[in-house]
Amino acid sequence: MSEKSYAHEFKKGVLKDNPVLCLLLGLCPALAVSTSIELALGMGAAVIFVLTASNLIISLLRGQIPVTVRIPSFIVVIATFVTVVDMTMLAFLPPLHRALGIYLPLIVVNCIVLGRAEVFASRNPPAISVVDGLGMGTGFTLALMLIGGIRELFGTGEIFFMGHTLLQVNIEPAMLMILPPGAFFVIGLLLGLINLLRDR
Amino acid sequence: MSVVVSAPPHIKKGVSAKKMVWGVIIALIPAAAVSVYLFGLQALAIISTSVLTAVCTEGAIQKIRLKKTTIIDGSAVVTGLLLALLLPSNVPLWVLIVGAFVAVAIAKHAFGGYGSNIFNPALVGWAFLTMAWPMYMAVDVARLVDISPVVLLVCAAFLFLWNRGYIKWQISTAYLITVVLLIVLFNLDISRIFIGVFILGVFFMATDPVTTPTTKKGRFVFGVGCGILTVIYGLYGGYAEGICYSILLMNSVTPLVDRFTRPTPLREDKP
Repeated sequence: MSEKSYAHEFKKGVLKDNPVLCLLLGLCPALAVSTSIELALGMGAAVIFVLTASNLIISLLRGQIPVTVRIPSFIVVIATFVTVVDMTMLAFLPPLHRALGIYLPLIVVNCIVLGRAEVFASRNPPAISVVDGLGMGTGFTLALMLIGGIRELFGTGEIFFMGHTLLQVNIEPAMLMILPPGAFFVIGLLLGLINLLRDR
Repeated sequence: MSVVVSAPPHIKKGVSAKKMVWGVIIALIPAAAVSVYLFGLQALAIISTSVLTAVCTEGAIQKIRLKKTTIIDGSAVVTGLLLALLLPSNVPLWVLIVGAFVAVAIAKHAFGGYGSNIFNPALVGWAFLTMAWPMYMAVDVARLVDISPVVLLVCAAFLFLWNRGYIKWQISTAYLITVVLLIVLFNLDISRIFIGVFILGVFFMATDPVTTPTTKKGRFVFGVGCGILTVIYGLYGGYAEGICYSILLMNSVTPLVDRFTRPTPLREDKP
């Protein structure tokens, strides 16, 4: 595998095959925990770790896993790493753990993670699988932060990040944006915008 | 002179979608006028801003999408008018402008324009505002439509006479009867059916030609569904909100209702 190909795999996850905005995978966390940039970043970091680690292990085991039981095997590997993230976050970042709630354990059934395991890691060597996991995870995180940023800005009138107010606009906060319908509005409009840009 | 023989039915009546929509507008004008009389210039400002925003949004979107501009057919005017009537009389104008924009741009044109929208645009605009800025949509302030029910009933009667045979009377009938029956059943206050929003909902919003079932049986199902949901909402939440949400919810199952009530053709070749 050449240097260019690694860069290509990484870029693919962020831009061309962005899991949320182009492949429409992992929409459940994208809708549920994208109420602020901080939450989105926390969720994204968890997914990056799980995706990269599970891609690595599944890629290493790809010769050993029988085809007929591959999905349960993938799930066992993914669930292991999700448990690691869950317990680590509970120990060191309890507020974030509380805020993410059920959506943290639900990474186990996140279709991005399983999708990459099935489509990529089980057919490619470890190194490139790790790059793919990193790229897809980064793409997911960036998409989530974009959605979270828009929702936070219009829903609360400011973007709050790590104890600082990054951006403040003088608008009447629209409560709708923080509520679930806001996520649908934002994702729908973003998808429309992306399709428009692609058609050009 | 050549004679053209075409297949029946030979209908010669100058009915068009445009005429039907303008009929709705004319029917709503007395209601709007009484509202302006009761609430003063603020009501006039709300109604005109709402209609203007809706029409401008429609025109702008059709320009951008390089479609034929169809603001003359009046559907945007109806959207703006209905939205304005649903709002409280002290709503700030900028809230209203956002609502009218959302109604036309998202509820209508994002779905493909007039005839393709799933949800009633005016109701979507109203629901958006209710969730986005609940403090401005306070229920304790009278809405523009909270006028004498007699006026609204006259408007509705006019609507039915003007669009005779085209308005979906089955929906209104089923809706009204269901609500009355359930009110009697649950021992509720009968005066609920004389609330302005209810009359507007039953006769003007639930009979929208686009977002309601096309089959005759389906229209009864739609009306009954709206009625049941309205009463349930009324039991547990705000009654006026319930009317709007019940129509919106039933809009979303319209394709399903249409599918299950499709009439069988007279001569269908059995497979």
